[in-house]
Amino acid sequence: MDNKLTYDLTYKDVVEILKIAEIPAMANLRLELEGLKLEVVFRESAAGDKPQVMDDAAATVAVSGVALKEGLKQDPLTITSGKNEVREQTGGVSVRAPLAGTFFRAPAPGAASFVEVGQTVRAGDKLGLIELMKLFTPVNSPCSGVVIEICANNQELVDCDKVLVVIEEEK
Amino acid sequence: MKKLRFLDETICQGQQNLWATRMKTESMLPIAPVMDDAGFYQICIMAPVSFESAAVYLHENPWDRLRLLRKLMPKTQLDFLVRGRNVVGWKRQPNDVVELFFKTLRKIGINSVKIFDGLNDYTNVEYHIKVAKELGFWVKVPLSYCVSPAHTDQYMADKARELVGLGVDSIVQSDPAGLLTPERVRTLIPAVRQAIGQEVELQFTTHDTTGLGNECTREAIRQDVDVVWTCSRPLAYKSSLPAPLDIMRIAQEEGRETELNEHCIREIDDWFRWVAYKEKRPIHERVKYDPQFHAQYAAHSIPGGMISNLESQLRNLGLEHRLQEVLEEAGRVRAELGYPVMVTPFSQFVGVQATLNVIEGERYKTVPDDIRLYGRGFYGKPIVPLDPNVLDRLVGDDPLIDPLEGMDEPILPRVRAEHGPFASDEELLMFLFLNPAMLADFNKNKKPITWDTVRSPLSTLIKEVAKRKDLSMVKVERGSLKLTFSR
Repeated sequence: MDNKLTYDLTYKDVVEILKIAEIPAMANLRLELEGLKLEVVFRESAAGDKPQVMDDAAATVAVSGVALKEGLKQDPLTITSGKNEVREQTGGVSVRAPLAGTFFRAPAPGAASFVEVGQTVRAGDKLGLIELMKLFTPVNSPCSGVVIEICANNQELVDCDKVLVVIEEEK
Repeated sequence: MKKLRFLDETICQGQQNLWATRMKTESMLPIAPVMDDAGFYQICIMAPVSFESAAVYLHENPWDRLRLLRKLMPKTQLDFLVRGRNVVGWKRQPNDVVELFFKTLRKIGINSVKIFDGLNDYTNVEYHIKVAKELGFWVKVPLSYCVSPAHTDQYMADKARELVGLGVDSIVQSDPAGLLTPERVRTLIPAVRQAIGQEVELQFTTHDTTGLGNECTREAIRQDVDVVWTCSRPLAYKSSLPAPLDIMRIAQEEGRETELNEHCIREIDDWFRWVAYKEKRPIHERVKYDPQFHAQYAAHSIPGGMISNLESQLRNLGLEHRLQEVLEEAGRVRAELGYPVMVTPFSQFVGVQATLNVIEGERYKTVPDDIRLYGRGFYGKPIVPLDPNVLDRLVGDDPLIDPLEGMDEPILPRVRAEHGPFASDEELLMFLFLNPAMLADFNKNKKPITWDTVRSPLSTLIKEVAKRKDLSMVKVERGSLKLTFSR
């Protein structure tokens, strides 16, 4: 701390100054507050210049004619929806996801899948797992029969009600 | 009354509560020397979530972060939170892993550990306490409060007495949901203090979630607790902890001296203000107390972060209008599951089961495996017995589980044989704590930790203004400083 320059500027000041300089002003700024004088001159911007990046605070300043979408966050997860799915298989019993989450076909990474197409299952057999907030819910077969279709991939994000497995019920 | 001491949680709980645990090491190191000078009794530098977040989301080696912080904060006691049987991560670890982890922390020079169990079931962590003490750690165990018929002053006092019997150095009266009131603190702290005696260190922490954080801390200070926890102002309040300057003022009003250096605290607050701006994180005001909100929140006690999660889940199903129903159902589920402390994983259990109950229209029709295991005793003894009908739905004919079973069987030799060789114990522990996908991600993306050793508002201003191609001139006059920047 010995040879440091001492001055009155704090990080709080820096943040305030930068925020002010981020407000999209068409005119130059000269500001005088108690203890602080600030002058900001913007360059003449050519047509087609990219708009400056704005932080959330500055984004609330209304600028006519410009819709600012910087603050919107898009959900990066795309979820396969199951609501309007129609299964055409005759005699097929659709086993649907009881809740939204990540579908796992095997009990652990690298382990064999619970079921494969063509496999015979009994009522209550585990067909897969759905993970939600780190909790795993089993997806069990509602009937005895043969797995005729597996409709979701391992680690796929599925919506509630998405058809996961189709079973041909034994007569 | 004794001098009041402070434990700092800025870079641990503060960023976990408010910044999704995304604070980079480069934001911690420049201010570390000032934190070391500030007079904190202890500084918490990592917990399971920040360990994982560093490796997986920030591409940093968490062990390096620990080493660097230790180097830059040589004088202050450094602290690490351990989540009971998980230690770090989400798998239950046997005793040999617990021992190796503590030894590794000791090698880095960590002084103190907080050993946490979400059911206050201390048989789960008896081994941890024993080993940590043998290795010379200052051992702290949190005693978690929540609102329930079970959490009486007597219950808390008995639990505290149990901890003294296990030889802990410090008991932390903690309130993770921020539900304590000053009136309750007035009876609770004396009850706990009576049970543990004057010699055992008593720490206190609460969150500002319902707006009572500072006033509860004031009451605890009046009741002569030894240590209180705070977070630097930009990472304080809302679901986080009170800020140190405010608590210093309260301590002064209550006639208790502190060891904190106000100048350093202001410098730390100022630095994190800059980090908050850079990371686009809002700085929160204190929550305004609302008795109705307090009562509603007390019933379900689901943490705010999880409520947002549940809200998104419901929105995906077009059911976001049923959030209130889910929260009310959560109140019932919480009681039926024996009032676990609403932290990971139990807050998930209550939240997810309540959501399922509402979505399916039939209660406990679908039950996640982990909740069945909880019913069978896998996580330890519940705080109160589960509702017998619900227990039946969860467990059926499945046998009860002894959570300690198998914990004294070593796994390290087998892990080394099957997955080694490991370059170090640190590498081995990382293999145990992170799942394969996370570990692969870390190994692929890890970068060395770099940081700017120059901590100067002036040079920061110049750098930032220089980036702004749209500015042709900036002139600042502040006190003795006159700065002109022009292209």
